[in-house]
Amino acid sequence: MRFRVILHEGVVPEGAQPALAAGLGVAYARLFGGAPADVGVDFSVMPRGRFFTAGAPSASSIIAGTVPAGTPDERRHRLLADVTALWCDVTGCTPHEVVVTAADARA
Amino acid sequence: MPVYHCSIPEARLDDARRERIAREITRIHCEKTGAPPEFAHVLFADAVDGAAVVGSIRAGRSAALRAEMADAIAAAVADAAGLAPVRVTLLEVPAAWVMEGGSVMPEPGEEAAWLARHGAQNVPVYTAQERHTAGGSSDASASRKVR
Repeated sequence: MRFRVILHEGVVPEGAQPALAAGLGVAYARLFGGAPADVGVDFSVMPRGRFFTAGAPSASSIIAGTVPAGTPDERRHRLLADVTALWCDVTGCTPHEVVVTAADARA
Repeated sequence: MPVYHCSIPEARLDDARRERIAREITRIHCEKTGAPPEFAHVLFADAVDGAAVVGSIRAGRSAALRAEMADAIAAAVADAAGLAPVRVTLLEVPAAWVMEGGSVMPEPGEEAAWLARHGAQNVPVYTAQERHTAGGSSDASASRKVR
């Protein structure tokens, strides 16, 4: 399982990435089993001027993950909520600056 | 959501053109779908050759509307970047797979109720009548209201 994270340069301090990656591992493992360390996280930091929200420079984070195909909505939504809360807690952003997706993993 | 990924050769763009493209894609998406601009994200990456836009949008829009959106976005990006053709692909993602603003995204057409339910303030929303009135206007701010 891997999360792909997209950030705009200067929005989330680079020093926060280890805590965010660890938190994603814990959140996923708590709901779907396995070890938190088995959850991979790739961070992409978009250079300034390459990431826009509502047509203006973005302060958002996009966190894209997958869950086992057929996961009930309740569990999927729990993961989305836990990741949003993690992001707000670690980075100090608001929920409106966090976009989280949990797609069905391909077989 | 939506998230539009633009792959365009760096040499074709400067900051002003990127911003223009981001605004145009946002305007087109919002005018065609009624989604609030705050939902629309546009990212840029370098491309060796050619130009492409891949948009992940909420599932539930008709094929005709998606084709309209793709054509309008292709034309806007080609105009701003000065190159053609621009390949536009729209991928549908179930709203239930996405959380933004701390809430699972609404199904297309249920944005106003969703925003009211979640207490969003100062979020511009297009109504169906405003979308109709806006037509091909390039001034999105003239055709939306703040809720």
